[in-house]
Amino acid sequence: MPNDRDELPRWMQSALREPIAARPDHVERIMALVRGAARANARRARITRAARLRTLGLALAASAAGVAILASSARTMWQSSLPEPLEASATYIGDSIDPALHDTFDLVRFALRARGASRVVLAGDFNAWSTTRTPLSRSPTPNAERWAAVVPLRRDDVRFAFLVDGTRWVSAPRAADRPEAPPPSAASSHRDST
Amino acid sequence: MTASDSAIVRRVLDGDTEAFAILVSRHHAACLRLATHVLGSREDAEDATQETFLRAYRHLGRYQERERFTGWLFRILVNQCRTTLARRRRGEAQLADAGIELGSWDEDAAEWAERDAMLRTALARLHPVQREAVLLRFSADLSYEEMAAATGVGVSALKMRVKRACARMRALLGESIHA
Repeated sequence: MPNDRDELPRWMQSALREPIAARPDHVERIMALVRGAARANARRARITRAARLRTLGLALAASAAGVAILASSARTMWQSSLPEPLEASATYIGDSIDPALHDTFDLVRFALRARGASRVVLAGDFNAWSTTRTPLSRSPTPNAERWAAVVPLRRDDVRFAFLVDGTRWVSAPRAADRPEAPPPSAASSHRDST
Repeated sequence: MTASDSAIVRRVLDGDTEAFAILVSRHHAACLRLATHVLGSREDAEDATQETFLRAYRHLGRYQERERFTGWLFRILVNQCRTTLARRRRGEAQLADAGIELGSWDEDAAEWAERDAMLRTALARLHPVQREAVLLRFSADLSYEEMAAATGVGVSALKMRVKRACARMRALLGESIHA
């Protein structure tokens, strides 16, 4: 293809390139519009940034709440997976005389806090370590996790323990104020000083 | 050393709005010249040029440095001129429907030198796509690649349009000269 500069007479090309006189303030008017657009852009950017920050804040708050819930759930799950700490007590509540045996017994109240347990029994020398003969009763709500039984014991009945759900043995507290009793090997009762 | 258009664009995008004035001053004359020849009205050309730069600023983030800024800018200008012409045609149709006669495109040609008036008359008689092509080539002084970027038309088609426009203009001006 021949050079298209030769297709149009030179004077035409020159005429087409002659400058067109614009209004003197035309460029300045354009820049005024551009500056206005820049200000509008900045306003929009500020609004968008603020909206994003609000969204980010909400998201962070939601995330923090989620993390707290998760942490709490994890803690609860971890704690629930651990064996419940059991509070055991054995309290001397009085004497009892068996007329048939002509013998005197200590009435000792055994208690155990065992959350979620379905069966608690007391076993020891006094019942030949039977796991069925001396069950504890569950307290009515709201202390449903507390189990208790009052058991007549001879002075030489010093070894006993709780059995929770047939699998978990729990020692009873020591009877520190029963000097006449021999040292227990598994557990001992606690005689109230009152 | 003069900063390239792309470098100026980066400055503007980095927040230096006043740097856009450099682009305006560099390309204002060519844009106004092309718009004036395409639209045949300096007032419309000023509006189209103004809108072109404003749009260019607003969409500067879309400018790809791999293309020449001139081609990108003229694409906006060409579209703006096309919109103006379409709006004008709709307006003329409405006025015609209302029974109002319009003057010809070269109505104010008397204000121009005779040769320029003939040139304007010849331009006015070109098919719009040929007029657009010949003006992008000879008034805006774009390369065919830049013209393709500005119009969305292939280089071969543009060369053909320019060739036919030149032939048509020579014929028209010959007719005028010998009339």
